[in-house]
Amino acid sequence: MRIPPLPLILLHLFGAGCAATSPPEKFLGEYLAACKLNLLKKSVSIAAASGDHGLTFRIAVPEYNTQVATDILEKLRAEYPAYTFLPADFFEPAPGSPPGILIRLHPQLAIDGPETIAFFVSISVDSANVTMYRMQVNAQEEVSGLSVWSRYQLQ
Amino acid sequence: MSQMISRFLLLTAIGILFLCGCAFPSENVSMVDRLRDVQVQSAIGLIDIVKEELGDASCRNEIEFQISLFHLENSHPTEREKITARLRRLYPAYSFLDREAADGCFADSRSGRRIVIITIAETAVEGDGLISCGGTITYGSLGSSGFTFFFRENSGRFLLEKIQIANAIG
Repeated sequence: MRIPPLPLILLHLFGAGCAATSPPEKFLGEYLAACKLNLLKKSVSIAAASGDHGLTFRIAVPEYNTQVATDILEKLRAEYPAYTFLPADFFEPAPGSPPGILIRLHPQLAIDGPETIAFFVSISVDSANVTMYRMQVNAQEEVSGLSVWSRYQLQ
Repeated sequence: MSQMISRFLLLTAIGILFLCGCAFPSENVSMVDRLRDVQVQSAIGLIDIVKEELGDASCRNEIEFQISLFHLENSHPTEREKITARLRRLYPAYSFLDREAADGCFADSRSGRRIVIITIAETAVEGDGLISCGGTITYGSLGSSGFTFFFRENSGRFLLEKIQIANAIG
């Protein structure tokens, strides 16, 4: 068997070292979807902590691709099996349906820093009063900051 | 004895080289940089549409582009400046406004040029490595046009796959 030349062996070794520490590449879309899931989890915990308003959540997300929105809802259902999650096209109570907690992830987002993106989430636990939050996510897809952006009433 | 020492030295060299590879910083572009890249690519798409509709000469001599970010904050100067700076480098013959024009103001008193507002709107995840970004061109009294740009991500770069006309406001 022919032994490869030494420079080639050294190059492979160096490459192996690089590969051993490089994190797997993630698409921007995968990162944003993971951030949105964590933002919604945070929103569910805020809404659930604000009192006994039922266990039905209507979630409005800005994804036009319904499969992406469905995947996010499926993950929420898996995370909170006791709650019901329904998709919502609009941020308002569905006519004729029992009241549920409304959560809307706004399509607007803002680059906040070298590794921080700010999203906006509206939550209404009583289908009348809305609290809009500004939530930041970091490079690890975690919710790293939260503040109340505004309060308003549904028309 | 000398053979053992040379083997020991060889193994040590191999170990050091592997550790060097581990320590070598991998060239990872941050997600924020990628998101900004999507926004810049969308702005380029919008400017190219204006160029096609009004002509290159008009874009060079009669128009001042204003970049606007569709955030819930009225303005996000640092981000707007970063994106505008990149567009200035890409379109050196075109004029870009440093500030946001006042609401409803489409003629800049300083330059006498007509202001065309390029608004970069929401970004949505489309799945399978596709990202979409909405954008609007506002021509003042001539109305606005909305577009959605679809990009496919490939090794951290975004390739324009298709453009959809979102709306046209006369």
